[in-house]
Amino acid sequence: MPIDFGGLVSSLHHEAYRSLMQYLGMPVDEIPIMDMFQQIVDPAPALKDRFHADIVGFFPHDAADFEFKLDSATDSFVDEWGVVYRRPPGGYWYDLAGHPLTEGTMEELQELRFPDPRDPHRVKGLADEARRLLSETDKALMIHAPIGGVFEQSYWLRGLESLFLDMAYNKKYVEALAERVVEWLLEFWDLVLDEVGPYVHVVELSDDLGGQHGPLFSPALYREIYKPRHRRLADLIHSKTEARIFLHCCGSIRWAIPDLIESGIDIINPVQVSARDMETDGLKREFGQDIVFWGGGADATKVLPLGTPQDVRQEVKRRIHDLAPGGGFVFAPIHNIQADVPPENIVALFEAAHKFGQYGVGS
Amino acid sequence: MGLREVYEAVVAGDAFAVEKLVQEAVEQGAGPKQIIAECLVPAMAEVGARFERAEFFVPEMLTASRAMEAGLGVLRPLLVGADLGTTGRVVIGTVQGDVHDLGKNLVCTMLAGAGFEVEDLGADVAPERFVEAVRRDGTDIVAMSALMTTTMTAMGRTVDALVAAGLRQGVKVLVGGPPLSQEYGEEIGADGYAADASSAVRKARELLEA
Repeated sequence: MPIDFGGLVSSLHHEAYRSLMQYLGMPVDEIPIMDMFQQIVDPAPALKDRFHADIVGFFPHDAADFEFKLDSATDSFVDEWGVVYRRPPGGYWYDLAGHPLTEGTMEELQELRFPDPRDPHRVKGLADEARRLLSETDKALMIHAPIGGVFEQSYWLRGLESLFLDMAYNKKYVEALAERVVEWLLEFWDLVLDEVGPYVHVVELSDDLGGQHGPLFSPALYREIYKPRHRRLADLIHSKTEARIFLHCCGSIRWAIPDLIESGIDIINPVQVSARDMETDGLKREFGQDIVFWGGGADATKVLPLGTPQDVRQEVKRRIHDLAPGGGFVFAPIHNIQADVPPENIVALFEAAHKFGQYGVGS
Repeated sequence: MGLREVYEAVVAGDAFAVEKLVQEAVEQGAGPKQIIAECLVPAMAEVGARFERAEFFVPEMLTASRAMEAGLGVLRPLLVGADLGTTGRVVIGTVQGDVHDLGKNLVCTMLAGAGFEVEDLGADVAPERFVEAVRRDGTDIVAMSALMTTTMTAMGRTVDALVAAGLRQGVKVLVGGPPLSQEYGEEIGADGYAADASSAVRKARELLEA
C-alpha cells in the first residue's frame, strides 16, 4: 500500500513539524515553508523516509515578473492574481482576505488581467527537474496544482459569499467566470505537460465541492457549470500524459463521485471520513472499481488531534481495512496535519500505516 | 393574498420582490408584527427545513436571508421596541483567531427571522468581548461559532471567562461550527450544540424553555 506524506495536501503545519522533529530527537533549525497559504512544511528527507513516503512532489514556478512580498505590518500578502491573504494575530495560517472581482459585473470580469498561463518561466528547468527526480528515486512523481480549480479559483477571485450570491442572482456571470478560469487552466496544463508529461505519474488538481453535511452549492449548478469544465480539463490532461488525474475535493462529496468519474478524474482525495456519507467501507464498495481513493488515513477532527496513539492506530487499521483491499488506495492523512496534533499521534499514524498496509491485508 | 406572496418571495430569495410586497402589505393595512409572524418567520423555517433536507444549500440560505432582511428593513422603523426580539436576546460571534463568518451570519439571520434580538460581535472575538457584551442587560444566550479544530478551543476559554466573571449562570451557551459535536459542546461546558443555522434556531428556543 503506497503512502503519501509531505505533499501539498498531505504534509504538516510548521508547528507540528517542529514538535515532531523535537520528539523524534531530530531537532531542526530550518523549517522550509512549502506553501505560504497553509503554512505547511516540506519535511526533511529523513522524516519522509522514516514514514515510508512513496510519492515525490514538485511545483511549477511562478511567472517571471511575480515577486512574493510579505507585508509584516498587516501579516498579509498578495498573489499573482491580486488575491489578498491575511493571517489573524496568533493564527495558524493565512485566510483569503481580499478579492480582485469586487463588483461582479461582466465588464469587470472581462477587464481583469489574469497572469500569463504560458509564461515560460513557469516551466524553466522543469523537465530537467522531473527527469532528475525520476532518476533518483523509484517513488511516484506528482506535479502539484498551481491554483485552485474551476470553482475554487472562481471564489478566490470573487469571494465565497459573493460567488454564492452570484449563483443565485447572476448565473451567467458564474459561468463566464468559470470559463475564464478553465481557459487559463487549459493553457497552463498544456504548457506544463509539454515539458513534464512524459515523466509524471500524477497530476494534482483541486476543487472542493462539499461541506460537512453535503454539497456547498446545488449539484444541479455543479453539473451545469463546473462538471463540463472538469471534463474538458481532464481530456486535455489525458491527451498529453499517461499520468493519473488526482482531484483534491474536500467534504461530503459522495453525491459527486459518479460525476467525477464521468469527468475523467482518476483519483479522489482526501476522503474526509467525518463528513456525511463518507463512510469508507461504503465508498469502497460502491466506487472502488472505478476510482482510486487517496487519503482517508485517519479522522482528522477528533481521532488524530484528540485521541490517544492507540486510538489513532485503531483508526488507521480500520481505514486500511475498508479502503485497501483490491488496491486502488493510497494512504495519506486527511489533509495537512494541523499544529495541534501531538507528535506521538503523527508517529502512530504512519507506523500503523506501514504495519497494517502490507499487501495481503484484509479479506 | 399578499402575505402568501411575501412568504414565497422570501423562500425564493427574491429581496427586491420582498421589499416591494412588504411595502404593499403595510399600505393595505397589514400590521408589522403580523407580517413577521405570518410570513417572515415561517418562510425562514421553511428555508431551514429545505437546507436540512439538502434541497437548499448555502447560496439559497444566503439569498433567503437577504430577502428576509429586506423585509425586516421595511418593517423595523414601524415597530415599537417590544415588537421585535421578544423571543430572547442572543450575543453571537466567531471565536478568537477565527475570521470565518459566513455560517455565523446565517445563524444571525435565522435567529432574527425567528424573533430573537441578535447582537453580532463579528469574527475573531476574544473571550473578554463576549463577557463584556453579556455584562450589558438581558442576554439570554451566548452563541459561538468556529470553523477549525485549531480555533474551537477558544470556546472553552470563553466559557471559563464567563464563569470567572460570575456570569455563566445567567446565560445559556450555544456552540456550533463544522469541527464541533454534541460531545465537544458538553466537554467544554456549553448548554447546547447545533450542526447548522437552521437547527440553531430550534436549539436556541429549546434552551430558553429549559
